[in-house]
Amino acid sequence: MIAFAKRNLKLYFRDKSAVFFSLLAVIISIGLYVLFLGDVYTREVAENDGIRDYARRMMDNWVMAGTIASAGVTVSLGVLGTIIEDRARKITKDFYVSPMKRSAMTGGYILCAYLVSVLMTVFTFVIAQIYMKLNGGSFLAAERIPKLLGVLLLTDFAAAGMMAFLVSLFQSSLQAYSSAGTVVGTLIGFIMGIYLPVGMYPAFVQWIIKCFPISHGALLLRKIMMGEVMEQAFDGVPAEISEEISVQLEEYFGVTYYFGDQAVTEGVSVIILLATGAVFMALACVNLSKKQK
Amino acid sequence: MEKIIEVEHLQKSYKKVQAVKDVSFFVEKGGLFAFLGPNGAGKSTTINTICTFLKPDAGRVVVNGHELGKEDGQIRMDIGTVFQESLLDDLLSVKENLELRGGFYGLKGTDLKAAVEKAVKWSETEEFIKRPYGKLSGGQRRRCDIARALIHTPKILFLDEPTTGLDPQTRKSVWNTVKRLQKEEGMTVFLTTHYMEEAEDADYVVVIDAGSVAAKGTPFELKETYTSDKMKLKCADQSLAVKSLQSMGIQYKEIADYIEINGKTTKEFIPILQKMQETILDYTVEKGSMDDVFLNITVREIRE
Repeated sequence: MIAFAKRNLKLYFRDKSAVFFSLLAVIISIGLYVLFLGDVYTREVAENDGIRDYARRMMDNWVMAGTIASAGVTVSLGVLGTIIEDRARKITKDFYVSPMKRSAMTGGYILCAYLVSVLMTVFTFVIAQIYMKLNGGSFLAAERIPKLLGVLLLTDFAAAGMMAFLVSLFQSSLQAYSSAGTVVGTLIGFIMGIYLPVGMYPAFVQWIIKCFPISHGALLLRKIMMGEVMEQAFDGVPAEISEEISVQLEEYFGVTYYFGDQAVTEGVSVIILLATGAVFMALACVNLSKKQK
Repeated sequence: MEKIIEVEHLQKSYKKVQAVKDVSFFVEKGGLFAFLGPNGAGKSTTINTICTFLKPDAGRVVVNGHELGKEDGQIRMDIGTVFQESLLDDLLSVKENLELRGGFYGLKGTDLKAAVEKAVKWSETEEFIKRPYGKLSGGQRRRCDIARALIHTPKILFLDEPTTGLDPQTRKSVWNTVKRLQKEEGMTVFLTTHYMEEAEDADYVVVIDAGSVAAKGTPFELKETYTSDKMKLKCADQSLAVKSLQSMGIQYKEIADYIEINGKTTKEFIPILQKMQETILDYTVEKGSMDDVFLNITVREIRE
């Protein structure tokens, strides 16, 4: 499995355009935000410079958290394209003739997708930090970093699992795979709540977003990244007032999900991510390891 | 001689098409074995089955003492396969390709390095080992495919039409490499080909047609059984020559301005030549070739 993952890693990084295209959705969402969405979001907020500054920093962290989480999805889908290409080019024949087990092959594909998406999400996080610093914000407090990395590992685990399952449905159709890439790249920005805050969608769409497991990764990242700014913003404000406002803000921006009156706890989000990754990886393995009859 | 591959009553169907009906043969250790047949005869299906990635419907296959379906892992360690298609990664260099594929066989560190060196030496790929596989010419790629098949020092080398699509010179040099591996390294070579001069070099030939074995034997035996030798006579007076042939009771064919006579051996022609010495202007004698064997066995209908 390790030997095979090594081959996939080498192959992925050798193809520079594939690396670029799997990051394209991320580049687009950051680009849109930097160019004008950021201004649109914060223009309306109070004229008070102090508040506007906090608002801008919150929006920065909000959009970057969503972007980082969705990078895991688009990157793993891009990396897993090797499965389709190997099948279409019939290179799989050369693997089947070696003593390597088919489950090890599938594992190698998924492991590679996971490693690359972890790397790319960390990379996206670093870029996001640099951007926010340049934009007058600050780096994330060092004590929050380990938790953030933990969330990245979990989110990418769920993302790699879901995408592996998606790819396992296409067998060897490059056409189907590239269409799926387009659809996923387009939808991911909405479903992860990057282009619009969750609170702006109609109730039904909100419900879909809350049920989409990987969006819980975005939620956890927002908790870590926006939480810091919110704490600073409400420093010195009486607790009754700050609590009421932050509950509203958290619901609106998707920092906390509510099903009815019930808030989803962090623990539940973690379990959702873990279970999603495990279940979909298992399904993908079953689909991909089937022997030709 | 020891049998290294045994195939008994192999059957394989794809949905409604019966690709392999009932195929039995064996391959001797250290030999050069040629597996011939027209397109669609079931060659690739048979090879793919022996190479463990198609499951046979019925029959028994034993490779180097390991039974197919039970010990596929050991079979895969014992065989190296060169496929019709080029199946290495285009973007990676030849060396990277060989190292990575070697890893699939559990090779690591110094063992892997030694294995790559040996495969490169055998396949004569030193010159372009650092270049990306996708940028190589057809002949160079073929050599790399052979290096890939040799990476784990297999006991049996399968080659599915290894020289198809190569220019005559490259074809010859690739073919020489294959023969050298068999002669000098004692590897068993199992090969399918459309080039009869390659089949001519084989120790044993099996011809398969429409999913069944149509003929088997050494090239010499097959030529004896399935071809005749031919003599063409050009005579000063053709009608006179025909008359004397009739008087000798010999079968002949008049074709344009010459006469063609078929015989079991070329020796049969000597008395005819002696008798007709006076009238013969010119003559040629042709031995039956593997081409004739192949055509005589398999030509029943025109295939695409």
